[in-house]
Amino acid sequence: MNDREKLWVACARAVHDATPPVDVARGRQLLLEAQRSLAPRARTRLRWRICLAAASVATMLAIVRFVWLRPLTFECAGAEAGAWLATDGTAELPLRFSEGTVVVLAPDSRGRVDELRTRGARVVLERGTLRAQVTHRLRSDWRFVAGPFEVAVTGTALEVGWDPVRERFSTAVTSGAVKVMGPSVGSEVTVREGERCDVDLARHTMQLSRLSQPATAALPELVAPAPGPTAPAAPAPVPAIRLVPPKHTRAPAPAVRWTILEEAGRYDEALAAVDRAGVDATIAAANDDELLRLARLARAAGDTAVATRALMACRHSFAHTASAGVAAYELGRAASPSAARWFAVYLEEQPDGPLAEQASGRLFEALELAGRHADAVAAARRSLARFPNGPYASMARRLIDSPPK
Amino acid sequence: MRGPLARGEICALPFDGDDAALIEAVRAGQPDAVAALYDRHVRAIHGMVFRVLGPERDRDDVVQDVFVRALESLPKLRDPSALRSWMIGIAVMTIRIHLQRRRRQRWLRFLPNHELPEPEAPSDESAGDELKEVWAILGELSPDERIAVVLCRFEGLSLDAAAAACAMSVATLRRRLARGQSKFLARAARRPGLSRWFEGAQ
Repeated sequence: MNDREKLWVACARAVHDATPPVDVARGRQLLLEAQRSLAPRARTRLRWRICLAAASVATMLAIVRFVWLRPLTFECAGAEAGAWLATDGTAELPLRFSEGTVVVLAPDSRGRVDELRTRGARVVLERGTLRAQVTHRLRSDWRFVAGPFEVAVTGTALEVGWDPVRERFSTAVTSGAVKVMGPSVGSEVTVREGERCDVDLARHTMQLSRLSQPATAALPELVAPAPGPTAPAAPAPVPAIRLVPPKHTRAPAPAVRWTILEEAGRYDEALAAVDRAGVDATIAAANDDELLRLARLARAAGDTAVATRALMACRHSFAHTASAGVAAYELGRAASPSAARWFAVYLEEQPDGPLAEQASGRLFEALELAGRHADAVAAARRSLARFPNGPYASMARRLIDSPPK
Repeated sequence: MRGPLARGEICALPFDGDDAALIEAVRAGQPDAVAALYDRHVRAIHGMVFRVLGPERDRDDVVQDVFVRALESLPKLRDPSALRSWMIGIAVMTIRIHLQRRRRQRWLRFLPNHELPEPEAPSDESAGDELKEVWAILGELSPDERIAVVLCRFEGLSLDAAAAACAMSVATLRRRLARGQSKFLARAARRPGLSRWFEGAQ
C-alpha cells in the first residue's frame, strides 16, 4: 500500500468512526407521517398532469388547425368565395390567395372561387380565360373547373380557357404539370410543361401540342369575346386526335348504369351506356335530378338534341318543382333563340331561386343579343335594382347607358 | 431487543421477507412495510449522507428526503431485488440536489466560496481537527467530484457500483474521481491538521 492509499484508508476510517448514531424511531415516525400525505399528493399531481397534457394537446391541435388546416383566403375588391366575378373587355381581375397563388381572370371572362380549402381552392371558369401561378406546397390541391372539364394542379403556371358557346376547352402549361379530367379525354390526360391541350366537344377532338409561345397568349380564340349563339363554329385544330371511337368499337357493355359512370367522371362510358339503353328509355326511367344530369352530359358531348329532350322531359314530368325551374334555366343557357324566354320562365317560376341572380343577368344579355334593346334595358333595370352589387351590375349599367342600336 | 412502546410511538412489526417481498408489501399498502423499509436501509443511507455532507444540520432532512423520494418512485422500480443499489442511487441524487442548491444559494448571496465556512454549521464538537479538515476539503470540490471521492474512497464502492449509483458511465465517473482525488490530495498536503496523517502515511 503506498502513502496515498494509506491516507485514504485513514480518512475513510476516521469518517466512519465519526458517523453518529441515527434516531431511527423519530425518522420512522416522520416518514410514516409523510407517507400519509403522499397518496393525495400523487393523485393531485396525476390530475394536474392529465390536465396539463389535455391542455397541451388542445393547444397543439389549435396551432395545427390555425397553421395547417386554416382554409385559404383571397383578396379581390371585397369579393367572397362563391360570388361570381366578371370582367369587361378591357381589364383583368387578379385574385391573390393567402398562400401566394395568383389567379388572373382575363378580359371578358366570368368565374368564381367556388370553394376555399386548406391546401388549395376550386375555381370555376364559366367562360373566357384565366391564368394561374399556383404556389407549390406539400399536398397542394387546386382545381380549375371549366365547363365539364376539371384541371387538377399541385404547383404550376397555367392558363385555362373555356368557350361555352363553341364548347371548346383549352389549357396551356408553362411550368409543372396538370391533369385534365372531363369528356373526350378518357379518364384523364396529363399536360406537362410546355404543352397545351385543346378539346372541341362539338367535334369530339382533343389535341395535345407543344407551346410555341408563352401561355399568356396561347389561347387567342378563347381570350376573345364569345360570339353570339348564331356564330359559326371555329375550325377544329389540325392535326387532331379522334378520341371517341365509333360506336361499334366501344368496349363491351358493362351492366353499370350511366349515372354511376357519370358520377365517376367516366363521361364517354356514361354516354355509351345511354346509347345502349336507348335515349327514350333512359329519359322515361330517369328522375328529375337524373334528367338534369343527362342534359349536362349530352350537352358536354355536343348532343344538344338529347340535352333539350331531357330538359323538356324534366319540365313536363316534374312541373312546378325546383328541378323544372332549373331545366328552364338550362334551356336558356343552351343559347337557343328562345333563351330569353326560358330565363324569364325561370324568374317567373322561382323568383327567389338560387339561380335568380344569374337568370336576371342572362335575361337582359339574351334580349340584347336578340336585338330587343328596349326589353333588354328594362330587364337590366330590374336586375340592377334587385342585385346592385352582383356580377351583372356593371354590364347592366353599361347597357342602360348605351344608345339603342 | 426493544423495550415497551411509549404512548403514541409507532413500531414496525418484524418483516421477515426479502427485498422483493418488502417492495410488494409497500406497493400493497401494508403499513408495517414502509417502517420495515426505513429500518432496513436508514443506517446505510444516513451513514453515506453523513460522510458526504459532514456534520450538517440539514443531514436528517436529506435522509428523510431520500426515503420520501423512494416511496414516490417505488412504482418505477423494475427489479425489486436491486432495492439497495436503487436506494443508494436515490440518495446520491438527493445529495447532489442538496449540494447544488447550496451552491446556488451561495451564488445568490454574491459571496466567493472561500469566504463561506464549509460545512455550513459544524455542530458536532466531537469531530476532531483532522475530520473538520477532511470535510473542508470536500467542500471545495464540485458536487460530482465530492460524491465520486466519497463513494469510491470512503464507502468502498467499486467503480461500476458507484457509476450506477451516480447514473453515469464508468469513464465519466473515473474522470471525476481522478480530478477529485487530485484536488483532495493537493489541498490535504497544505492543511496543517492533515499533515500529521500525511507524515504518518509517509
